[in-house]
Order: sequence, then structure tokens, then C-alpha cells
Amino acid sequence: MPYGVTEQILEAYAGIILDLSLNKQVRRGDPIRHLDVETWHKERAATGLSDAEIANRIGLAAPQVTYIRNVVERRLFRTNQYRKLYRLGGGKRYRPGAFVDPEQALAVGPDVERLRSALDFDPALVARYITDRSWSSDTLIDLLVRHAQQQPNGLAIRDNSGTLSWQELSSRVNDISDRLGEQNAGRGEAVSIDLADRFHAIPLTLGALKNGNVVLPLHRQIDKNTLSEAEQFARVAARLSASADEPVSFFRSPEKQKQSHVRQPDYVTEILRAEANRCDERTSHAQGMDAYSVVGGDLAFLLNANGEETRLVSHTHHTLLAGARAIADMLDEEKTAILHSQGFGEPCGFAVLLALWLRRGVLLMLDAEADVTEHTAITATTQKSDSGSDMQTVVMTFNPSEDKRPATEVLLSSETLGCASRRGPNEPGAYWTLLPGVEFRERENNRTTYDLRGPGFAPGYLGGDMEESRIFQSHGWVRTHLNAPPRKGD
Amino acid sequence: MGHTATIDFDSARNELRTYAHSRGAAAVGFAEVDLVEKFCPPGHGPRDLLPRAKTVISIGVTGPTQGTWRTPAKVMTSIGTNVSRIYRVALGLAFRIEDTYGYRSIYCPPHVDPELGARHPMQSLKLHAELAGTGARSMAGDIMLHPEFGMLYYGSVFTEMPLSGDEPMKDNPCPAPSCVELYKQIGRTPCMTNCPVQCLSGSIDEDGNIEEMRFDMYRCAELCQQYENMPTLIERAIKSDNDLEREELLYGGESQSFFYKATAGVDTNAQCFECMRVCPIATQAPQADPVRRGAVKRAQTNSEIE
Repeated sequence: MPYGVTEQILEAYAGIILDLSLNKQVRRGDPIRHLDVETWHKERAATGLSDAEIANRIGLAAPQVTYIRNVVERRLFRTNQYRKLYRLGGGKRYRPGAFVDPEQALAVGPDVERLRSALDFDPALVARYITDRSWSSDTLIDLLVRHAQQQPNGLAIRDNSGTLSWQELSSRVNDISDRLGEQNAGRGEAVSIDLADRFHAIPLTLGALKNGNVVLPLHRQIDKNTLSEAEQFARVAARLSASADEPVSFFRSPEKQKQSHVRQPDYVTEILRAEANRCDERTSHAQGMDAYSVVGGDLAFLLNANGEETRLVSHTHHTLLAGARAIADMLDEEKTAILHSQGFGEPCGFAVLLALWLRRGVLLMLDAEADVTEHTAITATTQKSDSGSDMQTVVMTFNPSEDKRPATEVLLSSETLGCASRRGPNEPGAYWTLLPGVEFRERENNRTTYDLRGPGFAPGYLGGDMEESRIFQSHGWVRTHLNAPPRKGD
Repeated sequence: MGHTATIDFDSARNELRTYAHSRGAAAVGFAEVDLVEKFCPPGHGPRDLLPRAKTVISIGVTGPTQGTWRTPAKVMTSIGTNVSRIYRVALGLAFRIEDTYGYRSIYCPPHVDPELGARHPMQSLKLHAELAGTGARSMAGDIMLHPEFGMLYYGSVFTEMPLSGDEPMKDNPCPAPSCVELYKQIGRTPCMTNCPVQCLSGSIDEDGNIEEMRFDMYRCAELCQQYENMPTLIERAIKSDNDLEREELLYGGESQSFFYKATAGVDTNAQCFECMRVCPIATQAPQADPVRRGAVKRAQTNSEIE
């Protein structure tokens, strides 16, 4: 208790001491320059008093005033304000709302920290994938923005509900992103997307990604009034749904609706509230996101593995786009649209389809019309692994082209977004070929299952599921479902 | 005691003024301590430092180069100040007075009062400047401005030598006509508009004079007194239960630059110049920077030749 000052005394006198001190100065006219001593002394208090003068006025000892004043000054001191100077001068001037503190814009809470702790990539693989450009700086949103700029009136999505051009899609995505910001679904937080209405689910997903959220696609029927096991496990901030009648609706997680405040001393709160009322400075959430937009290393998706509600796999924009790139290279460049006529299959099928479509920038048709001479038809079906492993796989089938070549299949799972492909699955002797960038090794002493690793592979399960050590090996290897050694690509 | 028996004090004033100019002062003014003491708060007058002081000499040295005003703010935090030049002038003047005239003199420390903390100076150099006529208080938190030299950095010398005082400035260069015009249009001057922490406000009367100047110094300190951050960073590091956060607080780029400035002795007293950057007096006074002063000197030389 320095100088006999308790916390209660400090709080009681802090405001008046701050007001009377040199911290707040009001000068009326120019009495000193006019040598008007009388007026000057009348105005002394407004211009700021010494600690001894304040003590005399308020009935405390001078050292007590000094102590309280120094503590108040420190507690009010916003330590991040000087960072505004990093963005000013050289022709740039201060404007309200223009400053975004990176520490605040990029701050994450414990739930996000938990999600990001799953990004346990092998350092050597990170260096390799960046060097060989398997991982680029692009995000799914960058691709969307590019298409909106290059072909604003081009059709992006079509189904029986309607159509959206790239520009319309981009506008809708921005709107959803802004609204998510208003819902306090901050950067890095998980949000779930109801995939029931496919046409509307895509803008919702992209809006969430633009807002910096991690998307948990819900591919099973959901109870509208409660969170599913997967949503609870992921600690989603909100669930997004959409329909023709209601383009966006939010279901807020009850946990996230609880507000937590760091208790500040009352006088500090009062002073800051007065400051906020006086000052016209505003920083909106949307401005914050624009200043520090989503990057390739950010989490993009949480995907159900093995259909289990609580086994979720984390994917970044890096891994998703890397996995999709190898597949996209197999698509016929002449085809002007992608047709996807069935459900998305597993969430990994949805995520990969999204990435494929955005890479190509063609029309995505979700209705039943199909003309294989002009469109690439993709279907995704779930099947059990050949090897007896319970890793669930998805096979994406690309329709035959004009010359009647057999369909192409791509093998993927939530853990491995694109590992192998084969032509003519029903042809005799059909075999799996590794996609570009994917490596393979045989397990020691076991020639019945095989390990793969590649740039589209996840680093692990959220929360370190018990299965993790069985599936995810060291140095990025993933124990897979193949029961025959894949061949290397040409 | 030790001083020269017969001194022509008027000549001495001129000689000391000339000496200060030769050492780098742009503005030099004198104020009688009796007058200064009328305006000082108790305990913070010249006689609290030099008990028999008779005269305060206020010295102003010029601000940064013209090019400096064009640089980003974070560059100005390193090169914007010229405080060290004051020391050379003021210290030299104090020695000069004692050496030449035999009167006790001190260079007034422009520092904070060690008993009271970082926001309480020992003396008000602004008061000395205003009474000695080397500057006038501006709308920008009472930063002192000079009609000829713009923004100056101030130092003071206290001496027991009795010298007659100068008059305060007759007119205040602030607000400039353009600032009055802007105020009439939007109710704010350029300095008020461009302060990054919005610490400035006030009003101008119908005659174009400062009616009221309001300065929230505790907000300005957030930009100008970054060293006040350091104990807070250390406290947070001690209290943090997160290793990465502690590493950022202690070893991150900003923390490193604080320690660098502290150990390398880089001027840190004025780290924000945004109100002055947009001030027409600070940046466009006839001899505000070396470009302008050089042009004035050349013009004078040419006219002398002619």
C-alpha cells in the first residue's frame, strides 16, 4: 500500500487528479503573452496544476497525488497507439478508422488457438512445398476476386434456384463476410455451413472464408435448434444456413453469446467511455479484415473424417489448393463449365469441388442438365477403403471426353485431398497413379498398407484424436487405405 | 563575487546574443526572473534551481530539414528532433557568462522531475520562451512557434547576471490565416484534424485569435513518450502464462527498438510530428528550414553586393 493509498482511494481520486493535472490542459486566450498575471492565476487550474497544488486542493498528501497520478497515467496509456505512426507521414495523414492495429486484427482467442494448434506441419515439408510452389500465397478468396475482376459478368453458379455472375457472387460473399463480422465471428473461428441448399451454401462458405473463419461443412441432416456433436467439438461461433426465402441466417452458439469482459477499474472505464463519445475514431471489423486479409497459411476447412462427428481434419488454403491443383490439371481446358449434379458426397468432396471450380473459373452447374461435350461432369461417391482401414475415401469421377476415353477417378479422403488417380476404373488392370507431388513408401515389414504424403495432406486431427497416431505418422506421412502399391505419375 | 567590476550590461546582452547565434541559436531572448516567478507554480521557478538567479535566457534552435517533413512518421521519430543542439548552445552560454562576466549560471535541465515522473518537467521552458519573446503558444498543445523560424526547440539558461528582459511577442503567429479559414469551414484546424490520437481541440474567435486551446496531454503521450511503455511490456511479460506472448513482448521488433533507442541514446523525446507536419507556420515560416534560410542568406548577400 504505497503512501497509504488503497485501491479504493486510488479509484475515488483518480479522475479528479487526472482532470487537474497537466494531463488535461485548457488555455483561454494568451494571458502570459499579455503579461496578465491576474487572469493567468484564475486560469491556472484549467491549464494543469502541479502535484503539490492538486494535493492542496483535494486534501491528499503530495506524494499520494504523485503516486495516484502516475498509476492512472499508466492504466490509461494505450500501448499500441504509437503504431499509427508506422502508417503515417510521407503523404499519408491520419483519418478516423484508417488505423488497424495488427495485434488486434490478428488476435485470436483460446478456441482459435486450439484450432491452429492442429497445424503441426513438418518443417522440411513446409520448406519444400513453398520452394517448389506446391503451396502458393493464393487463397480461395483471391481466386474469387480475380474472376470477379476478369469476368464480372460471366456466370459463376447456376442451378434451378437461379444464377449468379462472378460479380454478383463476389458482392454476396462480401455481404456475408460483413454480417459475420457483426456477429462477432472473429478471424480464425469455426463456423458451420448447412449444405442442404447447394446453391446458397457456396456463397455462405466463401463469405465465411473471406471473414477469416474456418468452415465446417455439415453434410448430414441437422437439428436447427441445437448444435451437432461436430459443431460442439469444433466450438463453432455460428452456423450459417440459407434458402431462397432467407439468403443468410445465423444460429449463434450459446457459448459464444456470453460476453466476457476484462474488468477495468471504474474510473478508467468512465474515462475511456467519455473518450469514445468525444473522439470520432472508429475501427470497424470489416476494415480490420481488409487490412489483414486471409492468407494461404490460414485454416480454411474442418472436414469430418470417417463420418465421425468428433474426428475433424484441419486444412489450410495451402493444402486445399495444392490438392486441387493436381486434380485441376486433369480437367479438359476446353470445357466451359463444371457440372455437379449430385450431393457433394463427403465434406472433402465439397471442399475439393470448390477449389477445382475456383481454380478454373468456369461456370459451376448444380442442376441436372448435362452435356458432356461442353461440360466436365464430376460426381463424388463415398466408399470404404480397400485395405480394411476405416479411413473413408471419396472417389471423384470425371466423365469421359469426346473421344470416349474412359472416365478418370481421383482418390481422396478428408486427410488426403488428392492422392491418386486412375483411368477407367472398370478396365482390366486399372491401377492407381500418384498425383503430382505425392510420395509413397512401403511400411516396414508390412506390404499390405502404404504410406503417402503430399502437399494436399492435412497435418493431423483436431484435438489430437486417438486415431491420429495410427493414421498420421511422423514427417508428414499418412497411413492410407490403398492395398496395392500406387505407381508414380509420368 | 568574482564578476567583472564594470560591465556594460546592454553590451553584454548583445554580446551574449551574438555568441548564442554563433553557436547555432535561431532565436535568443531574455526575461527577468522576477517576472518569470510571477507565473510559475511554487517549486518550479528559476530560483528553485539557482537561488539568486536574476535572468532567464531563452534559446530556440531550428527544427528539422525540409526533407525530413516529407518522410514517413516512423522515420521522423529518429531524425526529426534536434534537441542535442540546444545543449551545445545553452551549455556553452552558461560557461561563457561565467568565464567572461563572472556571474554564476546554469544550463536549465529540460528534463522531467525525478520525483514526479515522466510527465512533470522541472521547469517550464515554454514559459521562459513566451516571456522572453522567443516563441508563442500554438493551438497544437501549446507547442511554441516563431513567426520567422516556425517550430523551434527550446533551452534556457539561468544566470545571476542582471540583464534587462525582452518583451513577449506582440502577435501570435498561430493560428495562420489558412487555419482560420479551415476552422470557419469545418470547425477544426489542420493540427486538430490530423492528430492520430485526437488530443487537440479548441476554438478560434471572430478576430482569428485562439479563444480556447484544449490539449489532452495523456493522449499525446501515447505517441510521444513511448518509453513509458517499457515497464508495461515487462510487467506483461512477467504476468503472461504464454511462452510465445512473452517472447514477443521481450524480444519482438518493437521491444527491441525501445531498448535500442535507450542504449544507443537516439533522441526519443518527440516521436510524433503529425500536428506540426500540417502546420503552415512550422513548415512554411520564412526561415523554417535550411532550404529557406539558405535562400534568405543568398538574397541578403546578393543585395549587399549590389
